[in-house]
Amino acid sequence: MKLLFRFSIAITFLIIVTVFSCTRKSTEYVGPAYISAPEGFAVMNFSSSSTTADFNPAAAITFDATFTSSVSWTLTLTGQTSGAVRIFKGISNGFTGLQWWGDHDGVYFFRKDENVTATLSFFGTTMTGQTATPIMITEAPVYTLTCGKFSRYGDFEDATKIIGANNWFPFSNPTTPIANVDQGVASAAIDYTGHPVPSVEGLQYYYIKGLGAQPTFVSGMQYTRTSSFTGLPADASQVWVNIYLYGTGDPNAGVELEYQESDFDGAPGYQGTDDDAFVARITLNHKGWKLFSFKYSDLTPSLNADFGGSGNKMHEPDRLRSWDIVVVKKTSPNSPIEVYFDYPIITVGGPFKPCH
Amino acid sequence: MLNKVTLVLSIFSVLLVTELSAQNVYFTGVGRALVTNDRLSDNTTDSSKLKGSGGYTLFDLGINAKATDVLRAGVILRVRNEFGGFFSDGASFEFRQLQMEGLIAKKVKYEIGDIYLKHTQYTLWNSEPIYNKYESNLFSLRRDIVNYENFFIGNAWRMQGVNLKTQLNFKNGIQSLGIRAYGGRTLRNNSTTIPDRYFYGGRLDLTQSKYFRIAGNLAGISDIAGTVPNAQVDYKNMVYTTDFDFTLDNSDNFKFVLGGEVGASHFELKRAIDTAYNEFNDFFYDLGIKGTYKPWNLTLGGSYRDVGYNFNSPMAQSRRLAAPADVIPSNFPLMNDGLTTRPIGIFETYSQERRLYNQAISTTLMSYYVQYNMVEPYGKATPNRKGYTFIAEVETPNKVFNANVEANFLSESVSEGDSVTFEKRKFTLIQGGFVFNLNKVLNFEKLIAINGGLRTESSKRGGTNTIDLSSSLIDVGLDIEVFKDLHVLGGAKIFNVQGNEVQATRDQLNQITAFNSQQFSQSQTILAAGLRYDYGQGCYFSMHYHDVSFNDKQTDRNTYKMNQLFFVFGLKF
Repeated sequence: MKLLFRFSIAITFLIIVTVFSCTRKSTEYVGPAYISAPEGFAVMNFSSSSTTADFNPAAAITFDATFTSSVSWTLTLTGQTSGAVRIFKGISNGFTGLQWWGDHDGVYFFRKDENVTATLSFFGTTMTGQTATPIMITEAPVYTLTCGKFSRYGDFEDATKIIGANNWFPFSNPTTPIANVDQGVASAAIDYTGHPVPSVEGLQYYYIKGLGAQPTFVSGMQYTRTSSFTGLPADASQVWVNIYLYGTGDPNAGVELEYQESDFDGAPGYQGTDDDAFVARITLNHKGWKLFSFKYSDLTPSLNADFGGSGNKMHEPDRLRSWDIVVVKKTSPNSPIEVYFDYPIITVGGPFKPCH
Repeated sequence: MLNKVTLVLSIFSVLLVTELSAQNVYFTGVGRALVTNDRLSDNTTDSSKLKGSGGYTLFDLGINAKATDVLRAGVILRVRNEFGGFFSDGASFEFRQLQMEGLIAKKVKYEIGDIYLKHTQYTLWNSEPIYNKYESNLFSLRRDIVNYENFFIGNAWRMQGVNLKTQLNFKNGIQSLGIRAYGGRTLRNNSTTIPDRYFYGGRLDLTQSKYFRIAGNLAGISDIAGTVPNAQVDYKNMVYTTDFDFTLDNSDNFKFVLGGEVGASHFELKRAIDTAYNEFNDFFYDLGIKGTYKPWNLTLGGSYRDVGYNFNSPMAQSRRLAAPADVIPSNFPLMNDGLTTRPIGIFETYSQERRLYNQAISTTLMSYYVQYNMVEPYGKATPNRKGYTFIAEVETPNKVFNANVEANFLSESVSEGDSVTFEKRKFTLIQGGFVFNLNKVLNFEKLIAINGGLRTESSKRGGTNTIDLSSSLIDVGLDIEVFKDLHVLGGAKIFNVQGNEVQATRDQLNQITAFNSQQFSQSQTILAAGLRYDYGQGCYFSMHYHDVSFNDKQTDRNTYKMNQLFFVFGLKF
């Protein structure tokens, strides 16, 4: 008994000593640094280099500001039509030559021909500052050349370009068009919940809606190239596929994104019966627009032997030839569903992010 | 719907079959009819929206079948009819609870289904968000209803899973060894990106003698890899602790206990959107001593704790009060002609049954009402706190009077956001109260009880970014039994908060990403009076009048006055 008692004390002592001997990583502070605006704080000047902005080809406009003391500031640029937002933050008594390239932080892109307001706010005070006049965007930035591999005309700004001659193929099985399906380019659609669907990039997006002719499959669209996407590395962990999808919170609405390779099997191009297709499955139970990004190496091989399930099962993004968006009903075969999508882009090194 | 009907029929069938062979089938029930009549006055011009009434009738029928000690199966079925729901138009039928329990091999007690779990304050604990220990019986009657509706029993979380425990007794060496294990699911996968998330834990509790006890605890949450094809995150968190106490109780006059809990947490999260592997380790300790002078029932104690800023224990740090963004007032959600959302006050904390409380474990530190919980928003396990706690409690032998006070003098371990002077917040939290049973002094048979409570909190910081926020909450209560089983109840709550604070926004990794400045100049007063009549075992009727005054000098449009007439019939068997 005494032995056990001593043993218990020893265990307790050991635990306490172990914990007390633990040390934390030395740090002076946690969280982002900030400085509150003191009493009497004021903005001495705030201006932009221009009241117009042409972001194509890539160019920046700049902002200057001076404050009476060093403070945590936030510069918020807001598109008056798109609702796009770009936020800059800093701690200083002002800034000189702060560059803005037309990029955005949230989901919405800045648009051509819209006014942008620039508002300064400060930590610890309700005081704000604005430039004398808003900034008019004469040309919006174009990310298709700088930020990733783009499907030609995939911003859907010109409905006449979304045709077979330009490599876009709406699904046509079992009939053309598919029964009970409406699909095409739109800019002011109303979703099934009665809400207008805003544009996420530019003015237009692509939509597919309806019940379809089958219990699960509704419709879809394919973008195919005559050769592989150029410039994609062989390392699948370095490649990301991205697309903006609008959801209404309907768990019945599903999308399958299929990325199809032309395997080295002698037969040219992608053949569903002897090549790979890698799939991302998405339930559109979110509301509004959302950017979906998947690492290519995380895409799962197709299980359908006739549609991409018969390849070598190796992720080979350098052999990517085409991709599909397939719209499916997830839970209720008798309820129509809807999908709106825009700006499919393939990036290297990380998910899509506006760059210049 | 078909699935529900099938499920109901299946359960009834099981219970029926069980009944045939059962030695014991019994029923329990909780019933309640509740009606409120409310009035609000604000700066509105449309007075038609300033009055309202509501209420419901509900009955929870518990059907329990106990075959032997090996199995007891119980289900609670609820029928609820909203006030004014004519001809069952507003009626709903739902499962409230499904549970099985029993003994395996006469040694291991098990519970499966809807279970209530608590462990230690640093592993699995459901902390009270608002101090209410000494509030009027009139308020606690309503708080009991809110707690019942939200599945809060003491400091336990209601979970779905399994709980096993047993105790082995020994004749020599050690007195007993308690063994406990539990587990279940906290989050269901969404078939694509959110994986199944499970919780689990256990405890080995060794009692060596009446002098010494030590326990080892483990509590974890993990995502199950492979449950979805494209998992956005892979989350793991583990907390290891040990708690112990030495007791010296060999004297007629004195008893001393030295005890505490020490432990560490390990948190890791992988995200699909980046290649980073995020890992945080931290620890805590909480050690103290307590002495009791038995002739006076007087206990004094002191302890010291240090909880690291990266100590992660979701099941102990989840808040009972929902995040402000998820809260909507039940009565008059909008005011000032629909232009202003009515702010949540102390009144709602004991009266609002829905859309105010949280029943889920959150793996990130939830945002909270700074004005109501600035010192320990996440209970004792609040990260980035260190300092002393002192307690004193006394109870006269004839139970005429009992009182308790607790004083916490804490500070941050690390400054939050002050990159210039690195100043840390200093916190003070003092809370306590008393119950005085006057009838025992007067030798009066029926109850005459007076109670009072006080909680004051402050958060202060100097340096570049000054913080100075303080609040107080005063409780007063009166309970007089004027006739047998008929009580006259009175109560008041007075709340004040003044100053400024900064609230942190956190990311998926629990790391601070932003600070939001907040200013307060607010006072709330609640005066209430009522009756309670107990007309049988577990049966009562009560009626109250609550007068609520909410003043906000910082944001004048938030100011309002509200009163409520409240009637309730309750029964329990």
